[in-house]
Amino acid sequence: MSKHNEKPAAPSVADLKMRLERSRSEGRLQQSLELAKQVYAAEQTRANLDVLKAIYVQRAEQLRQMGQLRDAATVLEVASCYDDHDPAWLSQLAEQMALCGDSKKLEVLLARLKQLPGAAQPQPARSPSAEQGQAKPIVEQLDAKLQASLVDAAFLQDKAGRNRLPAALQPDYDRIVQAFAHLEQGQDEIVRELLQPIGLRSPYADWKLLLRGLLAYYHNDDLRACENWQRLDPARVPARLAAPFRAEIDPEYRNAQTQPAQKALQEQLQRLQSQPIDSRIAPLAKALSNKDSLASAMQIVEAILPELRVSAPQLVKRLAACFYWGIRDTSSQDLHVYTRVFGRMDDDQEFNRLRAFALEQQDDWAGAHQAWADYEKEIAQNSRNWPERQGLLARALIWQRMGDNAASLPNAKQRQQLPPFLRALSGLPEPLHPDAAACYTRALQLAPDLLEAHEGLFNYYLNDENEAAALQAGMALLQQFPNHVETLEKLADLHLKKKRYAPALDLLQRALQHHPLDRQLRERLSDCQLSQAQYLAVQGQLDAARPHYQSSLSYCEPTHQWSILCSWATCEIKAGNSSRAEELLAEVRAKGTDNRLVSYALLVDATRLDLPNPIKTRYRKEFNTEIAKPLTPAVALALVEYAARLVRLDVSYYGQQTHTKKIVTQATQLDSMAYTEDQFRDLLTALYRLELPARTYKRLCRHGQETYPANPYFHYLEAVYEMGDRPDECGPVWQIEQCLAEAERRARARPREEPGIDDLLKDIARRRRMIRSLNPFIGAFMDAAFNSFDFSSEDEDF
Amino acid sequence: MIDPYEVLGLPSDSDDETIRRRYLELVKQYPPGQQGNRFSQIRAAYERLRDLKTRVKYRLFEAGENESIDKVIEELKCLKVRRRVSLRMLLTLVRKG
Repeated sequence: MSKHNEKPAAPSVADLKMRLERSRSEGRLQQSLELAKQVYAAEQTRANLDVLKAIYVQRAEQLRQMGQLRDAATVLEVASCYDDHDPAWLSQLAEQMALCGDSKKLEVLLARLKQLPGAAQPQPARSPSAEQGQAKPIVEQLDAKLQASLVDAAFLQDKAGRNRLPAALQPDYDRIVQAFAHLEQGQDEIVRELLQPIGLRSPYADWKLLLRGLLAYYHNDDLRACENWQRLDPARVPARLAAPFRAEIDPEYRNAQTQPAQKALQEQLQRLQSQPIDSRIAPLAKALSNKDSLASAMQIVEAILPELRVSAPQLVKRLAACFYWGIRDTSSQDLHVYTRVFGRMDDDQEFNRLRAFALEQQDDWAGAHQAWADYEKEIAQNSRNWPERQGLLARALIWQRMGDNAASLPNAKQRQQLPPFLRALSGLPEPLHPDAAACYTRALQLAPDLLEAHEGLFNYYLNDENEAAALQAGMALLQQFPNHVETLEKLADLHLKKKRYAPALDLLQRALQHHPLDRQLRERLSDCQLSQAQYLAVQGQLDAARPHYQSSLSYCEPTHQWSILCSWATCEIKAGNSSRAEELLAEVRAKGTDNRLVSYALLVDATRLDLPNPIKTRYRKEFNTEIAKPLTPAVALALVEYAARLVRLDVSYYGQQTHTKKIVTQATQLDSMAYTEDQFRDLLTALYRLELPARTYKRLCRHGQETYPANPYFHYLEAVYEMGDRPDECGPVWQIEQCLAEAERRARARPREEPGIDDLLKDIARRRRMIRSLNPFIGAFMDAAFNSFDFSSEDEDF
Repeated sequence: MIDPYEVLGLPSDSDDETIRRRYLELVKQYPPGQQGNRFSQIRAAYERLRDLKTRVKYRLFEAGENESIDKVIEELKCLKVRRRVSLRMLLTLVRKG
């Protein structure tokens, strides 16, 4: 026979055992199993059988750890053919089989075990069907440990594992899976409800503890999470699942682990918590600050929103608000994306409000008017969101806003009064329809007690110089708000303009009842009484005039009484009561009033009351002599303020222009630095009424701006001088806008509690709004201009 | 302006009386002389919510306008939000480990 045909000699048992030892020590268990079988076949001793059985169990464990549970179960099934009369061996195999999750093979094993004489019967665990006293399949009589192993194995095999569970264990398996799904979606209440029926002795008790621990962990209640997880059986799957989280929050548990285990748990946690939501949301700040990258910001949000809804639902609304206001300035495409990402906004389902805001910002007043009207209709139809009074009030407020917008634009009558270059401007906004009066009236129909709408209507008619309508609107306001001081004063002004002193006095006295300490109001009442007295004196009703002089004195500040006393004195001179006149003049002098003031006041009233020529001539000479003397800043200011007051009270007399000019010349020729800051501000405020040449007034304003750089009034007064009080008086808007902006900046830097600052800011805002509504291009122009150039060192020609 | 309801710690459907009571509570807690800034915030919030008209006005024209993404991010950081993981993800980790 050739060498090739020879059969290899069978290895000896000793050789097989040596190879078996080597392969076993190297973890090659499949090969070990084959060798052990050969050893046992060659030498059927108890020792070899024990080795074979041990290797079967090791191999099954190895396969199980590799996730090959079915193969592991098959290995165990084959192993059960050996030594099948040993109950301890079959029990061991049953335990291993349970860990593989194969309930059918486990049932077969247990049936065989039950038939063995002297086999220890496992303690049955409680199960739903056992509690109901039904006939139980053998698997239901498994002890708790076996059931728990089956359950854990089922989870490791997902759906297939679930189907391999005994039917009685499947409902609670589904319950746990559902609970995890709801936990992930943040529906914590449902999770609690789902877990409630699972008892302490259930094989799912550890899964319940795991979930309860996770619930607490996600709510940052680490103490409660630890309490739950400490009760977990460390040999079971739930304990392994909880381990990374527990290691994070429980230092005692973490330190009890070996260094490699700690590292592994740390790595697991990092994988589970990778990219926390706050780090993924961080790029939003940059994206949202740039209008052009709003779409990319939306993409970021879209990706994180589902998680945010779960983790921090309270922040979703706030995030939506950031985007809602962010898309105000962008395209309508963003609206669609916004709707897709956040859904419709409760208070602005059709985005009419957002459109209105955007159009207002673009100075498209007609578009904004329409959008507000649409929004008002939307509210009217949505009584669920805007019930009864709230709805009516909301609609009224919208009409009021529309009224404010309409009132800010020049109406047809005001357009006719505009300078030709503005009238011809193609972009000049058209008057809105419905007009301001109609909008305010509609607002008042919906909410008759809406003060702002009353005020809007009243002011609109006042500005429109529609006296009859203004009176009616003012009276309607006072019917609702009898103590509204501002309206009482404005109505009084309206009467004063028409020299109807009696109703004006009545209104001012009503106002004073509510603000008895208001100095300005007392001053106005004093002026009104004086005007009434002077009117009666001019008419020759000298007796009737006296109580008004007296009354005027009682309301006036002591420092200003000199002018009333002078006026009263001239009245007494006219009445032929020289001694009384002398008394009054003596009183003036006793107050230390400067002669220049006295001579000026006497000259004015003597002229107005048409006293005999010698007296007038005497006063004129006195005035001319006195005014030629050098003035102190305080006297100069008092003279200018008196001249301005005459203008304010609509007083005119022969020679007024000449006198005013002399006073103004003297006051402005004084060294500006001689005035204090407040004196200089008051001087400019008074000079505004005296029609000073533009160059002089602006020069004084610039002096104030340079000398008192923190004072907002000098910029403001320059703007007011250029602007006038009505749209048709408006000068070069680019200069005005610049001045108003500077004034606003300075006013905002002052403490808000400083008297007058709030009113100043309000008036600045009103004027800026007026400019913008007048010229739709001014906004864009100003933005472009001020972003390109530095006007801080502009010269006067700019 | 921070959300006035948040400043006062009230739900958005609170009525006049509840708002007033809460405001007085907070003023006692943060008197103007000692906690000026906090008091100013509380006062400003109360002014916006003091009656139905101011509340509707706030809701119509101001609500959310001053919300800033930076504040949302800051709050999210303070909340220590823990990412919720799925059962599948947890089991995958165990199988791998």
